[in-house]
Amino acid sequence: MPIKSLEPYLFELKTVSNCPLDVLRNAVVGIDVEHYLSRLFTPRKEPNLEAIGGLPMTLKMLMDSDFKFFKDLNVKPIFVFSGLRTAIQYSYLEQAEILSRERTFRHVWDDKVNKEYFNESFRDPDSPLTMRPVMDQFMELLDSKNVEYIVSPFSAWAQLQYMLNEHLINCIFGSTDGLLVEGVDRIILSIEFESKQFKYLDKSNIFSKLNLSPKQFKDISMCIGNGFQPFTLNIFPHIPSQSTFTALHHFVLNGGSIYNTLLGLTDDGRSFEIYMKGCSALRFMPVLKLNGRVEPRQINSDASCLSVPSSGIPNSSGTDSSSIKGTSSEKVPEDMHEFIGQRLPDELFFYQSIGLTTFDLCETLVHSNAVERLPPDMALTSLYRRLVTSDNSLDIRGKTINLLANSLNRYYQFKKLKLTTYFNGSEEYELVQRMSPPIFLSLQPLLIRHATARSFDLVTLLSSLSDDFLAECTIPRKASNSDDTKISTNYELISTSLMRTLLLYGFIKEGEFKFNAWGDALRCIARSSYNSQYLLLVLWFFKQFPDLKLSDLLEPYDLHSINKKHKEQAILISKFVGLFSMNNLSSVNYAYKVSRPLLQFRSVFDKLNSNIGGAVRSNLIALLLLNQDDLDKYERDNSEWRKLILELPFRSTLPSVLLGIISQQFFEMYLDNFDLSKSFASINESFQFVHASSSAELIRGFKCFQEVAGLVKLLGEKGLIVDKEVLELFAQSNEFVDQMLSKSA
Amino acid sequence: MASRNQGHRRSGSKVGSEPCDTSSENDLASDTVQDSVSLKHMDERLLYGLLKSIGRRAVVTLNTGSKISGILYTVGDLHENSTTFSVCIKYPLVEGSASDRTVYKSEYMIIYDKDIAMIKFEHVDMRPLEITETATVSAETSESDTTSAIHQFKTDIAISSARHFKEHALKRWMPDDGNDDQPLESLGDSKENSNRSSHWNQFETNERKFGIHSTFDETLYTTKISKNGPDFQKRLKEAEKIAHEIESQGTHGNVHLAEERGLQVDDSGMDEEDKYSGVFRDAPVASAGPERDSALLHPKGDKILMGLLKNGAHFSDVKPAVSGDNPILRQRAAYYHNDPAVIYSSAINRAAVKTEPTEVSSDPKTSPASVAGSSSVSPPSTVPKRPSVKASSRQPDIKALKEFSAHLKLPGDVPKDILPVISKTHEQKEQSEKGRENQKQRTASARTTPSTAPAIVAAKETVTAPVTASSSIAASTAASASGTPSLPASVPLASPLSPRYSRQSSSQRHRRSPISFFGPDKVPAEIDNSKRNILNGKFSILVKAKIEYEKAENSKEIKNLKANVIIRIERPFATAPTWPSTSEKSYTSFFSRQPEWVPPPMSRKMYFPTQPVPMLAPQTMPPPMMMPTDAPPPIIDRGQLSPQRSPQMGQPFLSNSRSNSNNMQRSPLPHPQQQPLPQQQPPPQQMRMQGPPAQMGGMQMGAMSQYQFVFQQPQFIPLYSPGPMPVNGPIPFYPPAAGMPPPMMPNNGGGSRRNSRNHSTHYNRQ
Repeated sequence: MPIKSLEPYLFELKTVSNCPLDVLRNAVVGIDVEHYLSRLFTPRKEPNLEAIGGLPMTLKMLMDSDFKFFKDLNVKPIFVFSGLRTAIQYSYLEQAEILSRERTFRHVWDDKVNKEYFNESFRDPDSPLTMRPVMDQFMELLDSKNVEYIVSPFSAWAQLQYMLNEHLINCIFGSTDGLLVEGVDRIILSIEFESKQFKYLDKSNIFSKLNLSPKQFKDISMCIGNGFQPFTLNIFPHIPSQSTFTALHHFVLNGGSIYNTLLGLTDDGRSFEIYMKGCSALRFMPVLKLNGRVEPRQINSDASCLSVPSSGIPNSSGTDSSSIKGTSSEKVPEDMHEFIGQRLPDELFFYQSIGLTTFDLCETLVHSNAVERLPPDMALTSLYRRLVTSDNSLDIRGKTINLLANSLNRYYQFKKLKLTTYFNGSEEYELVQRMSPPIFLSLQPLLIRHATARSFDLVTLLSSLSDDFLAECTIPRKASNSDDTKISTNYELISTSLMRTLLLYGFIKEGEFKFNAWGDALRCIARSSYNSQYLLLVLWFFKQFPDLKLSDLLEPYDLHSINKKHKEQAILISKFVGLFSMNNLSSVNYAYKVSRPLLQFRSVFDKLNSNIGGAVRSNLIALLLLNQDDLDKYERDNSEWRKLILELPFRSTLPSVLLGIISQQFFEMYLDNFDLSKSFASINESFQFVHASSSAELIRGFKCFQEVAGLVKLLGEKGLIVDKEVLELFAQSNEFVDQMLSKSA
Repeated sequence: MASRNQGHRRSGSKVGSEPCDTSSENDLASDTVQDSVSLKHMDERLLYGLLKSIGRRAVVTLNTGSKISGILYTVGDLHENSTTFSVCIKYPLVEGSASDRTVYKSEYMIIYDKDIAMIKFEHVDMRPLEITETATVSAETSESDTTSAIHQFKTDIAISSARHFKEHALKRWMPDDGNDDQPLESLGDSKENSNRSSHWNQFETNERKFGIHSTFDETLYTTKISKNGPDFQKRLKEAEKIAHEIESQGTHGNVHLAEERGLQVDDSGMDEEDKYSGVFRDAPVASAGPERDSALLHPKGDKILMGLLKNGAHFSDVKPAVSGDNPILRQRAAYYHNDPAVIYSSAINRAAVKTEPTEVSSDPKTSPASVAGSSSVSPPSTVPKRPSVKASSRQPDIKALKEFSAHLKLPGDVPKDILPVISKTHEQKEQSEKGRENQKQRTASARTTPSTAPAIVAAKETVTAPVTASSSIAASTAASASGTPSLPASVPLASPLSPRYSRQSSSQRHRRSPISFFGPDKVPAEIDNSKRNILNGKFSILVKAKIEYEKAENSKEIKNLKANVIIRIERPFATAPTWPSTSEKSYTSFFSRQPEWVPPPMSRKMYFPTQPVPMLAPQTMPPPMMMPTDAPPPIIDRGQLSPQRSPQMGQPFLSNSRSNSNNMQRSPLPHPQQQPLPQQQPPPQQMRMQGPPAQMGGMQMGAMSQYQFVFQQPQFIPLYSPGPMPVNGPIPFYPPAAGMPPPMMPNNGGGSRRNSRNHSTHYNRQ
């Protein structure tokens, strides 16, 4: 997040400089991913992106063209992702009142629902595209283009600053936040490839034009909110108006002092505390050092990364004061955890840096609170609430965190955690992560080895599942120290993580290591000809909601039809089809139809997807962290690490609900006239800008739904889905689809 | 004297004036002329008279009968239908007997048309301007009957004429060692420059030498042309057509314009200032002597002024002087420029002049051209040259030009389109050039060796001088020799090609280079393949551990411990949840609880926001005390620093949000006994006049030029207008009841600001 309201002001004052793109020739440009995305997706680009979910449709095309320019100029981009949120950033999310971003979302959704083809964007300059949902797929795109990236431990800007100072990069493409960062003179604000120039901010020039000292600039920025400190402090409590950079700038120019004003506020020092934390976070933000240490740049720890080999007693190098050297005269305060958050081990930050991220879990562990805010549809369905707050969900979440904390300092293992939902006011839930014995021990025997397979493939794993297979994979604990227990290939690591996740979620009987009824259903997924991960997720969905009612599935909906008989079927089909991805989507600035109920349904699945993904990653991290004897992890280079991460299942966000929207429009027509070809022609025409042949994709989606229906039928037979209405509707819908497919064939 | 028809335009307005020779009131109001032409003439005469009266004593008789006297500062609108005619009087006095003269407080007074019954000006000199100037000069020198007004109002000419310029015998500059092939000077280290054979980049040099990052960007000043546009070719052709049309028009005697259009003009005898930057004026000031010829007697300055004042009058109506010789030639840019680079170079120039060997001054009659030709080394103090003597002095001129041209080095690359033109002469020159080159290397190994770039030889053809048709100017494009910033000014000597050339070179100079963006020594080099994977092996604790392990193994510390290779990395649970620190203190101790010192707003370089906010910080001014980083602030005896200010010293200022008692609790006061609120309120008037005028920027009236016709009430303009203004920021800082504080007038940045000291009484929120 940039310094709020500053950028337009800088343009207004003409302090943004232009430069021909040629200047960047041969440069290594460090790019703040969040800023890059916000540049690509300005409010006007893909205004409905958040309303349909998924990855921006034009992202790949835009990146292709950008990278082509980079290549022509021999520019090497390095993308730097933001990492964990610091304490102050996290506490911004822990507000019971609705955040400004959510308010925007709500407002835009209301307009979108009430007015057809309302094209206001969910984004505004101060709340750009959220990076985390698209992060993994973005990494995938970068990897496919052989572009290097790194996830910083905390702020991307601090990491960029460090990399610049270490001469790894020549310049930085980032947001206005960089004006706060020391040692960065120029910041590329935007690159206009078409006009062959880029805009940049010259710090000294801006300060002199604004007539502000760096301290005054920082004070103003800390008051109006920025990437390091997101709160907007209203330092004039009697004035309800918003604090903007312009207003505070004038205030300072007129002899006002932000600092003195903050000191004088009557809010029990809360604002001043936020200010202090923001300034301190900016100053002491830990960065990932070249040697792998994560520490503030003022400190240079030269402790050995090895534990003492003979004794086996953990070397407390991290806290050993003798090995810590300050590299500058700046003193580092002892209570950095107050404004940064508690410290996690360097190895964990390394896994994070290569993309093995478990942001939510780590943040929960560090900040003692799991924050759950509303999904992008800004509405709370019962399914979503249950997915977050049901006892089962809380239990699994606790177990996942236990898994992660197990390898960490004992402090984390006994830390009291809570989950707070901020759906409508705040509600607290207890999150139990203290377990004895730790969950890792009960999962540990499950270890999948494969002699030949190197890379992971979900279908391969699912098709080989059987009780025999499990028995083979289970290693008695006493033997766990032998050489056989070492797993190192991608296949072994990911399969083991996934199987342990299945165990965690109750597909496998604990202790016996045998599949239960749910686990048996896994095998039928392997037979899917379309998307086994999609089916696995659907299976997981039914597993999560054993007492699913029909109304949970159908409501809400916005499909309008007078055909009572098939309406419910059409709704059901559309919702499940909407979770299915479309191939070969055009790169189009989608500004057309949206459907809030479809997005709400997607939100449930997306949440489930990320929960599972988090559990898989926790398992993998636990494996890696505790795989002390594994030599392979020291041998992997960056590209091999990336490959491992990119093969992980459940890592990327779900596709957009576009197919569901197409399906709904199809049914709205088809249920009226039952003219298949006409209806197909109609959707082909109205969605031709999205896809060359929407009907073909829809038919593919229908076929996939048939597999879902088949899975539901199987689950019904096994007695895993008890609600007869649900089973019946699926059967009817399956028939209905059958009819259509046979007609179309 | 000039007057206007009372009945015609403005009733009740009587403007008269008293020429110095007659000293009698001469009211011409009765000379009613119905004819519009003659009316116009009357207007012009009146205007002329008024202009001439500026700075004279005026006695204004008001409709009430009272008389106000003062110095005429300026007069208002004279246009038809205008009702805003008024006169501005400086140092107004109410006329009367010497005893009961009332002195107005205000320095200026505006008297409006409707109040004026009659104006009388004394001692108006109606002669043409240059005579007046002479009179002024003589008045100043002799201190005869000068009024205070003459002291007060000085035109540029008057000021500059006060200096008496002595004619210097011109000496030709010769280098110390007689090697005149050396570049005259060089901004940078000469060795360094000669090594770089590429073009001279002033931005780069500026940055390297002085750390000045130029933010110049051409696109800020001009519209970027998209050459990819579909109709670009079409528009280009159209533009060329229009350009041709314009260029085929006459130049109205503007030498510069003519030259730009590639016309051949006789520009001999003109210096760069006359041609390119000087304002047209032709009154000889210091040299008002026998040389004054009839052309110079024309009061063109007045004409232009009159033209400006009249509606519809156009500048072009006034034919500018073709060859006004300005006797005062200065390198203005060097002295008026704040750019250190320019100052530096001019400093070099002066130094060069000083070290100029006197023994080579064998040619005192060196023409101005050659002085200019020796390229900005000496600020040319010249003999005024008149066109009439051109022919006779032509010969030495050409000679000097030739010599100059042989040594002229031009910065930048040779434009490609010039090359074929010059190649012919270049061949001829090459031989001698080489000879010089060799000589250079022999004689001056320690000095700059100019690059061997090809010389530009541009034929200069002058219509009036047949000799110059064959004279050529050789211009080497040595980048190393380009340390003469004023050289481009002398480039036009190489006309007609010069406009193109200078355009080219300027675009090169302004091109943003990587070094200006990345900074010196930071320009990225070519990325080779090894650099392609920058992050590989970095930022990885695992790799570090492995390296450490291998090191340890090599030193045979662990080798014997275990047969198989096991790297035992530091255990993750060994990492404590606290961060390493080098201080025992909390982060909160890094922030002072004392209010920071705030510089008074206007002593800083003033920045005017686009929308002034009527918002003042009701805050005290603690003594200058920078915030300490990790220690509590030192307690300064504030009473000593600024005794008047002490009452509010330790008070965090924001009394609008909290009670004063709260303030006391939150920030301990070093002098609790001083806590009582200050009661005295400095009267606003007092403050109004306190700001030293110099700090008022361009706002005080004194800065106005003599002929500026402004009706604004001369006053100090408060920066912050007291009225409520719609701003999107926190405006209503002060409750309406309390009103706005008096406008701020800073002192000399000493940290004491008087206006806000009483904020607690002013803005008490409770």
